[in-house]
Amino acid sequence: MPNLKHGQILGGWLAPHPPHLVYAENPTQNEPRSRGGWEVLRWGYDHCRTKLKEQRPDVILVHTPHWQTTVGHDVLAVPKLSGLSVDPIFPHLFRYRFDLQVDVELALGISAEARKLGLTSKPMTNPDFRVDYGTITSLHMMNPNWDIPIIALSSNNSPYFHDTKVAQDEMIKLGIATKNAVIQSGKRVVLAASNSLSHLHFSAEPNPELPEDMSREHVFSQSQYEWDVRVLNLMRSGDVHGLMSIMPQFIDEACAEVKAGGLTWMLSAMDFPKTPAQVHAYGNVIGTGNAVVEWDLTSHKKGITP
Amino acid sequence: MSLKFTALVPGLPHLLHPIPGSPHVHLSATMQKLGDVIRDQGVQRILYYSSQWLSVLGTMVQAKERLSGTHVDPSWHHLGSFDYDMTVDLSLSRQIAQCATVAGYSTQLIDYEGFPVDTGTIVANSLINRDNVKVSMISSWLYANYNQIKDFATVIGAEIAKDPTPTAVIGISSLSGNYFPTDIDPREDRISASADDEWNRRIIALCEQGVLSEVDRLAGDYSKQCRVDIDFKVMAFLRGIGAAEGHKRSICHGYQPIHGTGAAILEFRP
Ligand SMILES: [Fe+2]
Repeated sequence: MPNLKHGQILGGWLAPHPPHLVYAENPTQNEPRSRGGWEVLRWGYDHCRTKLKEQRPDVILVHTPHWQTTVGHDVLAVPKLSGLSVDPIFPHLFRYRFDLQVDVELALGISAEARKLGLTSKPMTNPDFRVDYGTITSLHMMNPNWDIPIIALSSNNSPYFHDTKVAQDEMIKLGIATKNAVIQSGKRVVLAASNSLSHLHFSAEPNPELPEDMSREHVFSQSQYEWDVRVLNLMRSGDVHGLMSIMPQFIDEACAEVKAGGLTWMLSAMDFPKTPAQVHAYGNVIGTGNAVVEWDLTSHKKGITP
Repeated sequence: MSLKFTALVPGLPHLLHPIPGSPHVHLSATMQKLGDVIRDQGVQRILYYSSQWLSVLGTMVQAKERLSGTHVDPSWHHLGSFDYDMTVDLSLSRQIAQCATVAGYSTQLIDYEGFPVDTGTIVANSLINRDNVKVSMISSWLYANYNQIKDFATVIGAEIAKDPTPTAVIGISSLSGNYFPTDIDPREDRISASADDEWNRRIIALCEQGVLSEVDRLAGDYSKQCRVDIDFKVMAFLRGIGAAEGHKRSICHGYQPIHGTGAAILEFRP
């Protein structure tokens, strides 16, 4: 039965995933306890929580760097997934019991559209699959009640296997495939690029006795900070073409985690919006640069439609 | 001398239920035979060092007594779910962590329910350790170079040598790492580039001849040219721990492709 109502992308979020943010919040799902920390970034996510309550999207789509796939761009396509996700780098901070619902219909649509555009893509249908901590952290910070179905997209290895240019081109195609599938689905969708900005980090926790010791948290270097601010200013001014043109240099010089492709995917799916983005927060986690940034496509027009 | 057996093996999940007619069948069977040899030699514990267990803030050593669950490889999820059940030799893990810490290496014991065990270790253990002897495992510290890993392993090797328990050390890594970026028919698997094949054969030949210092010298170039897993630091670990000592000839039990990458089963004479 053809879908007569066109779907919409309501907006997109840069949604960084340091597990420290979940740890600092002490949600019931996460086992370790903390005294707090990284409040400014967490307050930034409050804006997202409020917005999602207002918008009530049908699905949240997230692109994650911590589900890496050797072959292709895979899409989570199992109706329900639950289990314990333990961060392999910070297991003392993140041991999270997840229980989530996936919009399989749209997931299959995205994968099919990606293949139509010449990309390799498989639906991930293994019910024993363990969801990565990037997906879980970003989605928890956006919607801790998990009452909106989700879809996660893997990071293909192409930025590391080929080069940034080839990889970015693939992500632009994946964005178009995502947009096409959303439009056909008739659903209202919010996107999330699960990425930090500058990604150089300390080689050891500054205070292993108290990971949330904010007196020891700071940006890794002044040049990393300046890169982050330059990129954020391009976002704030709506200069999406400026942002895209400096992306390769940003990736190289700031070891930016956007290398994995999530931001390019999201901007492409949103037709590279000239809408000024709103930076809700910027902060450092173990030296990396992280920002919660919103592109609200409903503020100027009614989302992306055909 | 407690080091009884040492080998380098591949750790991709294609080997657990290999497709008939694919080269993975031979690799899988050979790794199982290696398990028989280990048993016959009276090995009582196995130490794994896998290129697929990466750590960033120093080195991690597994210290959860029982590791069990169902594993799905994030990349090769369509190959199925794999049950695993391992018993960790806690005293060995603690011994390793302690001696490394004393030697100045940042080292962490890992004891968490649900901590992800890497695919490579699960594949190797499933095929080699069918008698379920106790195991331990050490992460690959991403920011250490080849020589640093070799030095680190030397410290561990000296500690293992103090203890008479017959021990096997298994390094888990691909050789050339250039995979095919699209799906292939496993029965038509081959090394993805002839230059990679030549490099792999050159490295294997050096191991067979026992010219391991030359392998050390070439490791950087080889890794750069052929994208060897974590810059071939698994070999550095085997070298340092005494598994692959100079001038002792190694035996290559198999060399085959896995999705375009190079996979060899090399037994070293300790
Ligand atoms: Fe990350």
